[in-house]
Amino acid sequence: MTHGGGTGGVFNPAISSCDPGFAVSEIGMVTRWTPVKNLAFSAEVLYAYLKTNMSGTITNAPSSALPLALTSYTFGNNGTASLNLRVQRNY
Amino acid sequence: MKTIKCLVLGSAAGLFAISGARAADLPVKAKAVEYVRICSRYGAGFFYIPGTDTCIKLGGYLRADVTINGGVYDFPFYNGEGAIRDRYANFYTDRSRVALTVDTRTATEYGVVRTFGQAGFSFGPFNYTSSIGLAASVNPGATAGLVNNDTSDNGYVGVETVFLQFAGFTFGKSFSAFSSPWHGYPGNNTSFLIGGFDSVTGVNNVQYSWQFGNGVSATIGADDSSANAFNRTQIINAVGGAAGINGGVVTGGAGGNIGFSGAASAFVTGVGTAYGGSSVPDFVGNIRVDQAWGLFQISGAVHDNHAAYFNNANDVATTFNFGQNQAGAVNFGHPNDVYGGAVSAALQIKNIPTGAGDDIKMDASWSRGASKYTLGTSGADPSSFDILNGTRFAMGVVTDAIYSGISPNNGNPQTGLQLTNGWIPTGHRACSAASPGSAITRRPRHCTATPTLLTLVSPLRAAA
Repeated sequence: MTHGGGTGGVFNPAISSCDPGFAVSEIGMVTRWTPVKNLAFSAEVLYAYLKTNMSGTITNAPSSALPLALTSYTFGNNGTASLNLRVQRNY
Repeated sequence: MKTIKCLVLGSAAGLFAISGARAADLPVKAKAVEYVRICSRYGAGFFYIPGTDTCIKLGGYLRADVTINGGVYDFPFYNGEGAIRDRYANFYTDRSRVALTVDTRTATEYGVVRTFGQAGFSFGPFNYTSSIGLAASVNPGATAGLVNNDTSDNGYVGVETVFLQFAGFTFGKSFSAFSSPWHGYPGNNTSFLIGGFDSVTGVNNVQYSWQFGNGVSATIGADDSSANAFNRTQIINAVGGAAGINGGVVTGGAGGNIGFSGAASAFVTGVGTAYGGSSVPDFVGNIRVDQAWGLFQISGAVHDNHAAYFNNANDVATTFNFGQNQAGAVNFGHPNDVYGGAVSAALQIKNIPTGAGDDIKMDASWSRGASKYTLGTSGADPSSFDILNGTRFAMGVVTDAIYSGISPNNGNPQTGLQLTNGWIPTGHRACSAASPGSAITRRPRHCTATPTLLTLVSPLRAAA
């Protein structure tokens, strides 16, 4: 999750607001099958949604440490979904 | 077939002969056999360590899992390579783990003396980064005792809980008194359900508990405050380096930048955070009612925001310096410590009509200058949330506090620590408790994690 430094893009002050506050919300569901006691197979889906308080645009890549396009980025909200499959035996 | 028959017969005859010889030669003397003696006073599974009055129980679990479009332990791609979907990302990650527990109890004149230890042996992809790592030469887990575990025969050991209980005191690495009994797991697999303070793998602490009877108890404790896996996120020095986020300019490579994907670090020892070392432990406590109908708990924490110097942020992993020369840092002075804290309420209702063993769990937390208590999760929190979709860029920065030092680069005024507010208004999940070990369920049961919503309000809103 950390890649060291690198330089960032240029914030466009005329139309942008730098507020690093945010809200993140998640929703998920897990289904478990327990064929015998203390043995469980489970599948979990999880969705995370990030609402940013930043607004406006940033030009060039947001970080030089990542292989991002040199273009204009618009601050907005995004989400991501994941699926986890697990088998666990407790003893 | 014939040969086999002969062998079997021959074998039986031989045994008989030996047996007969013994009976004839040796005097019959009954020798006491030391069978394992069952210890029933602490529940199932205990037995006496032979020759002692200490009962011991061995346990643990074995787990294999895979996460698709996420990191280990169902880490959602809310930052890192996966969140920008570059070609370095691992789009599935897997892990195998066996955990062992050793629980001993001894009845003494002071009551039961208990020791408990749990360690997990895991093999999986490189740390939790869910990418091959652009900084592959650096092992971000080295400071946590991890080895480079993405090669065969390697792996890592997690020391999860290690504690001793005696006469109401608990010493060692155990659950924080701030936590609810379910930590960040009201029913989920993922270790990354935001909200619900999570110390399920323990934090070094000292605690004392009072039992008032009828399921009512109170606990106070002092938790270690040196690592952000437990109760720190990061303090940002907005002008520590060449430029921060002041003046409406976001730039990387400097102390206090709030850059993308961890330019400020998820790790205390990494790049960017301006936290100082541990100065005052976190003081925590709870009052709990645990009865047949369910559980209710109120807990609180006090957290010291202890920054380094006005002219720099930390990069302890390499040079102790980030942005400015470390030499002379004391000349600039430092912001004064500011205490923050958190409160949380947790409620569990058992025996709901949906099924035997089902329950509802919910909790809500508020923090000021102690964001880790609202973010939860059992590992280090991300320094920032960053999700990229095309050119739409969502970003949130996780801080406990922000300050601003005198900078020769931008001349901004110096400010002390300003605390970040965190709030989970609906840290609320319901689930049916068909969790492993709690019930035999032959058909799949659905366990629903209802929405959790974290809001983190940063004190710094640089005007554009």
